[in-house]
Amino acid sequence: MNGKILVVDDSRMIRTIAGNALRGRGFDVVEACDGIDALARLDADRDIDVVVSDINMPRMNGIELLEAHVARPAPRAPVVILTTESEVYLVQRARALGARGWLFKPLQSELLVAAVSKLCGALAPPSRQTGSGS
Amino acid sequence: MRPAPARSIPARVALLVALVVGATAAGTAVVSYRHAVAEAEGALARKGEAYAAIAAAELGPSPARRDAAAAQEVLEALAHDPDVAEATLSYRAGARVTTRSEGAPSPAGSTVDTEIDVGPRDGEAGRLVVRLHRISLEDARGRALRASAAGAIGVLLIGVAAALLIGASLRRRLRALTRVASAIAAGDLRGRPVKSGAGDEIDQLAHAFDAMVTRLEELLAQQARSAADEQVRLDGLVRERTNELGARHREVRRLLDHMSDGLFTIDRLGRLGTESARVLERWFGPAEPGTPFWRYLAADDDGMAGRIEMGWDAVSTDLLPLPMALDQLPRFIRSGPASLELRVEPIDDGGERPEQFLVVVRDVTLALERDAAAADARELGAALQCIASDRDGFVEQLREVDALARRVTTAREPRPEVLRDLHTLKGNAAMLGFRSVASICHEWEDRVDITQELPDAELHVRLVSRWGAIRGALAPLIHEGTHRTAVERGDVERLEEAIRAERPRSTLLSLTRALLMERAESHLSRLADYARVSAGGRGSDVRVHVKCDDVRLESSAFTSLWAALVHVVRNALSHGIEPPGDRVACGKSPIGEIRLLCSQSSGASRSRSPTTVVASTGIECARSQRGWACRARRSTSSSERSSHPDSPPARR
Repeated sequence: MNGKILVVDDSRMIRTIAGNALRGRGFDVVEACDGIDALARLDADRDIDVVVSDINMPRMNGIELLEAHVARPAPRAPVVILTTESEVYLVQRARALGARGWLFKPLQSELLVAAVSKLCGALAPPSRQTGSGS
Repeated sequence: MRPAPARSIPARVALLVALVVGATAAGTAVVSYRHAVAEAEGALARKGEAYAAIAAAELGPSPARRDAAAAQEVLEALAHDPDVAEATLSYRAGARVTTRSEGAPSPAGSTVDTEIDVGPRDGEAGRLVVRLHRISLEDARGRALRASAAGAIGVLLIGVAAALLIGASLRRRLRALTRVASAIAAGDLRGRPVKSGAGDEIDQLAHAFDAMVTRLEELLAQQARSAADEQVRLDGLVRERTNELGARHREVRRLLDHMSDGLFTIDRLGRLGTESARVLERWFGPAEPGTPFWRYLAADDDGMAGRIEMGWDAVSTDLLPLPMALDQLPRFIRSGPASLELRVEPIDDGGERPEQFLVVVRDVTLALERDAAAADARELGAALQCIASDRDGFVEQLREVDALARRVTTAREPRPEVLRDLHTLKGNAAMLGFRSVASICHEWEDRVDITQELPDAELHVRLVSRWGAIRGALAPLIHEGTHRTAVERGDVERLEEAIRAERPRSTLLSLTRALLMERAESHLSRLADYARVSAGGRGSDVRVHVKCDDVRLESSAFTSLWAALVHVVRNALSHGIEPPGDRVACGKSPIGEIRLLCSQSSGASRSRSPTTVVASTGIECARSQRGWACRARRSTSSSERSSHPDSPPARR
């Protein structure tokens, strides 16, 4: 398994597309339908490596989720924001709150996988060299 | 810890000289003092002996010849000398004459005694003792000591003065050498050490120093000449290289000034470099080095600047692989009426990751206009083809697209029926060859799908303006407002035969009205064409069967049906027919099948007028093993039917 990813989007279709793309590349995927759901998942599962979140969601949107997430104790999973080109100001706000990256919709699976792989790779501890001797 | 200040050589020499002189003076003083004391002691002894000899001579050859008084007189004469402490003449018979000088008797040890025998051998002999004070001897010692000390001090003072003079002279000459050496160290070779002509070591050192400076001066002069020659050579090289660089720079500048593409470089933080193509100034004004390139390219468009900045952030933060991150940047920007293509390419400088990027801005206004014109021409050509083959059908579809576009562009909420209209509009526009409209609808659907809201004004305006342009171009071609009906020769011949046979008026009217009906087959054939074209666009093949049994309907009947029929056909293609590969894997023919049916029945409408029939139109696609199937069937409203047995089939 390459890592555990939390996909947060109120659209089941987006969750399915993103989830399939990530599972197809060996990631374990957890889904949440909004910010509140996502926080519950994060509380329940400390092994989540990366959060991929939409911005416009009912109950708690992506920005509010990010605000709540950065207030949580470290270590915190990095967050990638899914957004549209017309929401640049929200991306800038998310960036200021500590979002590690963003991807524009329509969602391109290869970009999502590349971004998540990079973040998971960055999170991975350095491989230990094993000598052939003792 | 600082070392103790070193004592200068002249000071050491002066001290040494002073010590030597002092020691010599002290030795000399001691010797001369001893000599003086010995001299005084000798003189005192000699004086006692002389006094004794004189007294003995005065006392005569026989003391008897003289009396004691005379002896006393002689002795007292001796006592006049203050150095004589006592003079005593003693006879062996015991007589004794003594005289003393004035003052206290001398203590023992403070006198020097001189004894001498007096008187003839045959007379009364006596012994004369002259006792002299040692006071004079002590005085002589004191004088000698003072003289020796004064001499030693004088010698010491002279020696110290000489030492100071020698030290001062040494210091002055050494300081002169030091000044010259310091000046040389500072680069001033003009100074020369002062040579005293004494020929001593310092003078020799001054000569050697002078020779060294002279040699050094020669070497430096030689070096300066070499350096000057090298400077001239280097100046020439630099001038030559500068000229070359200047020429290259002018060449590059000329290139940048005259090229139509706007080129400039940015660093990893997106800041502009120093050189840029002049054409950029026409679009964006002067390029200020160091400015973030999104601010330069979109100074008046915060939204675009933000999109570029966000895109560049993905590059600079390494979120994505570089080609993917660069691909995320906006591809087109605007400057006034100009449409500009934006391309960013990494500059490979051999590093692990590129630190410089080349930005290429190209004016694609004309190209886009050409593309648009070509697309217009293609779309108009497709429309002309449709008009030529089936004008009425085309107009019919056009009107439906009109209605759909109106409903979609006036909708305020993304209700399901609006989205369905949008989807139908996309399909109908594609079927009519208006790919630009279909593309906008597709984009619109994507936006709605993502945001669950109607898209922004930009898409709305694009759809309205594009569809308006198409309608404007088509208006003179389709002569809207006129209605033409294609009449088949057989129908006219049947009418003619009925007139000749003097059929009833109602029959003739029925036959005449039938001429205005349209064959359902012609409409469904258009649908079949659409299905084939759409299937080809999806990479699959489909066989479409049309069966209408000569059913005829008024054109308005199809207007209400058309959208549903197109929707069903599209769904059939999208969801009802597997991709060719899947079909083959299931053991089926790679070609799918669609049947478009239109039939009529009269039983269902008995409650209506006798002439009413029901036309049922349906689409069937082959059932697959995976359970895909679609079937759309719709019955239209009633229609009149000719009561005449020879009347043509129902046309509704």
